[in-house]
Amino acid sequence: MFLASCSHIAVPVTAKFPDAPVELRQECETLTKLASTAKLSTVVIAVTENYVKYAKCKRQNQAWNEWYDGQKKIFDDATETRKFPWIRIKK
Amino acid sequence: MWLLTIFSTFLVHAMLMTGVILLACSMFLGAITFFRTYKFPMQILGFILLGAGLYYEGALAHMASQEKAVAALEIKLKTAEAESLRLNGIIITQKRDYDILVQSKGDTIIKYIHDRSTVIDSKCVITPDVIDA
Repeated sequence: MFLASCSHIAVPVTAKFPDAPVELRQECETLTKLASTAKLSTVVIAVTENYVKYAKCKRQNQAWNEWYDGQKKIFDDATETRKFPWIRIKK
Repeated sequence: MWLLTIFSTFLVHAMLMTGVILLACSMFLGAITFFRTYKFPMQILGFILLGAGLYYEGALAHMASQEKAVAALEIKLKTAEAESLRLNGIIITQKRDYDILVQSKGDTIIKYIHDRSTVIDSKCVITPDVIDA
């Protein structure tokens, strides 16, 4: 019993998945709406503004995916413990 | 192995050595009266101490290798944190640069349309130069 009481001790290794940058967590801008009496130049300007907003939103979504894929790969590589099966990393 | 948090390394070594000495004395010093009298208890105690000593020596070696592995993992995690920050920086910079580029292009086009707004509104036609802009 004396010897059997000697089981595992906790390993003090903690790995935390990083927080996403604030820039990537912002909502996309709301698209510009038009009044029914809008002039053609106003319509064209609104279309241009909305195109800019869409392009930014698309890039933000792409950046978000790049961030997640990259961080996941780094995190998975770092917490790989095949060489030390007795160590359980607290995630 | 939690008992190793109470036992010192010295105690484990001492346990093993005492076990070996007790067994050796009980086996080879039978000519001396004291050892002949207490031969059996010394052998029992010697075996117990030798067994426990060997077990805890193994545990100590295991703990040492585990500490080494933990240290290696901690270095790996630190490197990963640095790599993660570097990746954050790259992604944010690229996004910011793209946003600035798109915004400036958009502003240029909007300014161009503003300049030609009277023509566009009067004819109610988007002229080709506006589309090209």
